[in-house]
Amino acid sequence: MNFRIYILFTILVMLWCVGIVVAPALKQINNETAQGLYSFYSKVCHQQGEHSFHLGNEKFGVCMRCTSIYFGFCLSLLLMPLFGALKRNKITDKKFLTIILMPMLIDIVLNFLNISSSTVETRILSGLLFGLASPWFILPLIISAISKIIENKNLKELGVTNYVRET
Amino acid sequence: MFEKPNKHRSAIIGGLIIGAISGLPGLNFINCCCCAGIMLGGGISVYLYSSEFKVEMAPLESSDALILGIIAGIIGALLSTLIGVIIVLSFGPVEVEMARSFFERLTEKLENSGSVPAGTLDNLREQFDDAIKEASTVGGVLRSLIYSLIIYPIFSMLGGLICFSFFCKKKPTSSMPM
Repeated sequence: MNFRIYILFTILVMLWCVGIVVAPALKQINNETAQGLYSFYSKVCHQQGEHSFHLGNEKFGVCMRCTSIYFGFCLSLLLMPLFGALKRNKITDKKFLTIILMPMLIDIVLNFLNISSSTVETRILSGLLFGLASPWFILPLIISAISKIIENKNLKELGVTNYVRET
Repeated sequence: MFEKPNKHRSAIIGGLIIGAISGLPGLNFINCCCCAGIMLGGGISVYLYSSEFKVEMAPLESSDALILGIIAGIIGALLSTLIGVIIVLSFGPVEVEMARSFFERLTEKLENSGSVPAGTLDNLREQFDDAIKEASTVGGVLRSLIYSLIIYPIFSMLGGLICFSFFCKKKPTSSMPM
């Protein structure tokens, strides 16, 4: 069951990443779907052209930092089974997420305060670091939550919940 | 052991936060940072829900955080679309133009001081034009609603789960056989 949840989640993440690259590809051939995809991703990203990767003359669906996060996330998800991550029954420490978030936050804050401008390298590296590390924290949480929902549903069907309540 | 508290109140408050952040012009730029506003709403709903628990109740589980995040995201998506429609219907393009001119002036200042990258102003102008076009048609509103109904629950759920792991004590229960 858990492996099925992992597969489903990975497919969804891959679709999300494919959409980011498909948007400029479709725009290049003047396909109207491209505008819909850009509009879709505009809800999660500022989509500034000068901060984005380009395919031909068209920008990706999201900016460089977001692209790095999502593709890093997807890559990490694909590699997780190779490191036995799905067999481990442990949610990664929350300190881990805080630490890996720091480089990106520092980069954003320093840029906003005009202390140090973000560069292409800092955007990509900080985003990639966060993207690569976050599935190790998020996936166990999602698997645990969905497993629990299924477990509770099965218990309910068996009438165990009522029995426990009554006793 | 008593039943868990009702999720409605926390989910509605979380949804209201998401709707306000995502629906109000200017404030919705927070979502450009990894959907931070949406994740915040999902996180707050879980945090509020966890504060309703009493010792004699069954403990808060990750499944509660996931469901709560999704519900808050759906409410937020509906609400942000509604706020968008109300703004357009009430104030019309004149008010949107006023908001645009305000944000343009603000961005111009920030751009001159170097706080935001060059080109932000053009981007903002483009986004306002797109927003006006989108908001003024039924198709645009429906499209925006569908996109929101896909994106908001996902990020709100993530916010809820992250908040759960940060603020709620929990022992892992799932085994992960391959």
